[in-house]
Amino acid sequence: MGALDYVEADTVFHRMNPLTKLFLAVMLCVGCIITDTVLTQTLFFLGLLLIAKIGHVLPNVLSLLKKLSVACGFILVLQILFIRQGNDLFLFITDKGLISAYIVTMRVLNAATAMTMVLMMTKMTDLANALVRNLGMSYRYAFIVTTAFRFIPILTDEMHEIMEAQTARGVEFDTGNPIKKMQLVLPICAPLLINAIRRTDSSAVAAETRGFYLRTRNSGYKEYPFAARDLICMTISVLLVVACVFGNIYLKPLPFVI
Amino acid sequence: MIAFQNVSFEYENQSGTIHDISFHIKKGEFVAIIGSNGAGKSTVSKLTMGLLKPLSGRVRVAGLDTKKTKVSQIAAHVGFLFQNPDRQICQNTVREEIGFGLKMVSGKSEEEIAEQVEQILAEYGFCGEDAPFSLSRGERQRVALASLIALSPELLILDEPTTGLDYRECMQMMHAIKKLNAEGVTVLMVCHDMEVVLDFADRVLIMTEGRILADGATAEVFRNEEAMKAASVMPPQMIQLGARLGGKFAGVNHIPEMVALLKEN
Repeated sequence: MGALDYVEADTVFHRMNPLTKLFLAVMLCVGCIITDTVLTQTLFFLGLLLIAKIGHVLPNVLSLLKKLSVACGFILVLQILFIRQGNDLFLFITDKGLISAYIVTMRVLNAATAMTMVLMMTKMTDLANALVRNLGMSYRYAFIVTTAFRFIPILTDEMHEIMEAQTARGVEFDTGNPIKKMQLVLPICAPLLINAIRRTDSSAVAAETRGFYLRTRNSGYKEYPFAARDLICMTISVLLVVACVFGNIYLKPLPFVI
Repeated sequence: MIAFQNVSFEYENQSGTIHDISFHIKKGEFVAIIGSNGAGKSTVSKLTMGLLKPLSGRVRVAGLDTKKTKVSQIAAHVGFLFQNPDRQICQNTVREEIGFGLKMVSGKSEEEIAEQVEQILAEYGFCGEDAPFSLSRGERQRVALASLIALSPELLILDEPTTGLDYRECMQMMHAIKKLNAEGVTVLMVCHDMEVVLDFADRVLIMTEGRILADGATAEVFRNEEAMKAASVMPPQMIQLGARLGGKFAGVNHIPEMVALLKEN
């Protein structure tokens, strides 16, 4: 399953206006960046898992976390290596280094999960329609945003096919050496770029012949009227950020909070 | 040259699954695999190249077990022409493109590579300084084929080589491949064009839903109405015409033979 694939379900989050979900995700990201303690980052993470469970996207989120684990592991190791303040625990590893590494890693994980969950619970077309209808954005710009997301898995598949074709010619993409693998990126850049440009060109022509420029603000078919659930969600999001700010000022200095 | 022994393979959530198939292809044969979409034809070609590893059973190619050998090592013996040549083309000029594989796999010196590239450019009539992506679809396909032939493969795997080509380009491509086959290169071709299969392949495998329904000489398999129907494949027009006319026309495969018989009568 792709991390950016929409998951069909009928939950309170699926019924929300797409802009509410986007607002919630942005607020969660802001909250993650503001908070600076192990406890709050862990609470954020657990909160995101709870939202995923309610939204029936938990398997997708776990799949995403698995894919992010290598990058996060890399960040964790770098932080431990470079932060040497605090008390020594083992060799060059200090307590402050460990705490800082955990907080930074969880921040990345939480922010990525929050934004990706929006896409798991919102159709791209609904997001584009909401941006046009509710925010007054030009459809052209809304289309750019949603198409960029839509093309990520397509280009990822294209890259895998090009790597397959080049491996079949003797390029050692199947090497275990990561440095050698990075050096071999060049043979895939040219075909990937050219195919992407060709695809963009033909998509543009296809969109134009199907009435792209005839679209108006009310052309979107499905509506997500703002309801009490949207207001409650937005209020909770704002309160969460406020709580994070107050937490940083009043809770962080307390001795039991790390 | 190719041996599939009780091979099974499954994709996640995709068609093209293979169920316990076995077949052998000898050196020098020209074999076509036909069948409807999702039958497993491309899966067989990728299993042969080692791009996919079988879940059970064994695939041996040019004496190598594909499960135990890297694809880049198999590439020294096997050339794979993809349906979309743009995936293989990665250099700025035709000369560099043809020399690319030689640099990766052959272990030859720069001078030897340059000499071999010039030979192929002359044989195929390419201009070495042309940018591959500025050529037509058919010419790009021929460049991709030439870059594989430069490696002198023992086996050539072709995944729908005639897709998107006009008649002239299709015939140019297939005659080049047939010439290689005559020189001893084994060819395994996945193809939807039955006329091309009848004209060029010696042997045909019909696949449907991951199984082999029929395996035999091309004209014989095309006359197996049951297998052709089960695979949702139409035989070439001459075979259909011969079957409808019956009698001495039933065994006719090509237009000149049919014309000669009709004139006799």
